[in-house]
Amino acid sequence: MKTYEEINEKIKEGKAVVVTADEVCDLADAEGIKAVAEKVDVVTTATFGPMCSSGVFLNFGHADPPVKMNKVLLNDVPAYASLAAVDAYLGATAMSETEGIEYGGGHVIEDLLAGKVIRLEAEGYKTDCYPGEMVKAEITLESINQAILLNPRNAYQNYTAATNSSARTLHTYMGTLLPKFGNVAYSTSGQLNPLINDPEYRTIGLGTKIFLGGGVGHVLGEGTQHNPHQIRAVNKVPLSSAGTLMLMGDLKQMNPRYIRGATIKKYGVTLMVGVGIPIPVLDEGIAESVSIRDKDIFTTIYDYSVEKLSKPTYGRVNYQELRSGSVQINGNRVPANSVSSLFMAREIASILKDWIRRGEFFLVEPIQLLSRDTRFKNLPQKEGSKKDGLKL
Amino acid sequence: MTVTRRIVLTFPANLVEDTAIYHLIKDYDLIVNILRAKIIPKEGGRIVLELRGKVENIKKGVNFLESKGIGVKSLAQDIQLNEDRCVSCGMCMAVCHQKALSLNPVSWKIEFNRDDCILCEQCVTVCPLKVIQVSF
Repeated sequence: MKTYEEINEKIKEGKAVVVTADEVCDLADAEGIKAVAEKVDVVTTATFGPMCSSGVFLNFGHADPPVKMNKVLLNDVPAYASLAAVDAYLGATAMSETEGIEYGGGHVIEDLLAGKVIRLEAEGYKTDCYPGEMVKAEITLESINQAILLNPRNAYQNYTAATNSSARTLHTYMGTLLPKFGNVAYSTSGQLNPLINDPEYRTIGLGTKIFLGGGVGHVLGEGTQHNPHQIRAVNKVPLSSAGTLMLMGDLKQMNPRYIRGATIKKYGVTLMVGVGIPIPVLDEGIAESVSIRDKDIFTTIYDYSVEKLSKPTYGRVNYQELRSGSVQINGNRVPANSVSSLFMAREIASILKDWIRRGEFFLVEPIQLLSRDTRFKNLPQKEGSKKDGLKL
Repeated sequence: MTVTRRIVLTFPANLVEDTAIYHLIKDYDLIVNILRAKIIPKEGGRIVLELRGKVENIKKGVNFLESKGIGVKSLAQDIQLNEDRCVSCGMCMAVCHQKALSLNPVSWKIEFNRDDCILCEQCVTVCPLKVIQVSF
């Protein structure tokens, strides 16, 4: 048994044993779980991929005369501005009013981070305290007061694999799905995935300090659509999309290598986010959880051609099979491709490991762990709803 | 020695109706496979060609094309994967029927094997970061 204080003391002294979630598997195989619990202090996990539920809170500073901005465009991309006068939230999936999905919120975030000049246009209505009605300005990440990345749903604990039984090509958030089971797309860093290494949420929660986009960030708690009740295997790992995290960090100290605006063909704009989470090996239970391998992590293949919320499934596969490049569906070999980057996830796990080893990054014990009770619900429609009845 | 080469031919406007490919087969004994072609009358065109035959015949055939004023480049020069910007997500692999794009099973970095590419450009439109560019 170890405590956060003891581990942090070791980090301070430069004596902490820190390994990545890949490396810990080799130690577990060679010496067993007990040895992992005794020898290892921290295991670093990571993921890098498209995470649509991401965005940034911005405070531009006041113009003279001041404007109560309620419509905001950044490089023609709309941001939500129904907040105080010069605050806005730019969502990753917002589309340019001139370029559509070819440029959007994710790209503005990446451009800000890369130090580029962003065109701000804002409108407001006149009040006694905000006499100005419009403002045009050129801003940079440095020129504005705050740019706080606040992502409502990141780092999914496992994710469904996608295929397509229909006769036409599908363009989805899982990328291109070729007709007649032409491919299977999957998106998880498997044995490196943060919440898969902490399947029962024993160490990750409000306050956990993390690597976010190349800088330091924090976990705020469960993310939206957090689904702890997803069906789980004997090893407690969910068999499909389950837990999620809400993450926050100061964009000003991030690195554009790990925050990337992206356009998924015929789907939309998104943000690729790099996340690294340290897991303290407090006891043998955690040592066992972090020693999980791709072959023991399963996901479920769903048919994305069925235009219903509930889609038919084509069995379960483990990540070792997916990474081999093909899986079996109905007795046939189907090529498998990822949509998240294991290459980048490994890089992040190893950077976080170095930060901790060098004594630059300490662990923070969460003040509240992730919920294990939240119920994941769908949205029942009002009967007889028709589009022309909408007020939109 | 029999070998296979993939090349890109650029036809200027005045040569669009030229029968160069016929001569490659007839005069230079080459097996010709047109992988991709885009010809616009009075404007010019480009053809992605696979040539199979004796090394010296391929050389002579290419000289023949160039002597007529047709531009000849190896395929590799026409497609660029920006490795610094690529994150190796793997989305391009879904549409690469030639398997020219693959993930290295050790480094998990995307590898691009130019010899297998036929410039179909599927990856160019699918790449979420637009790091693959083709000038065709």
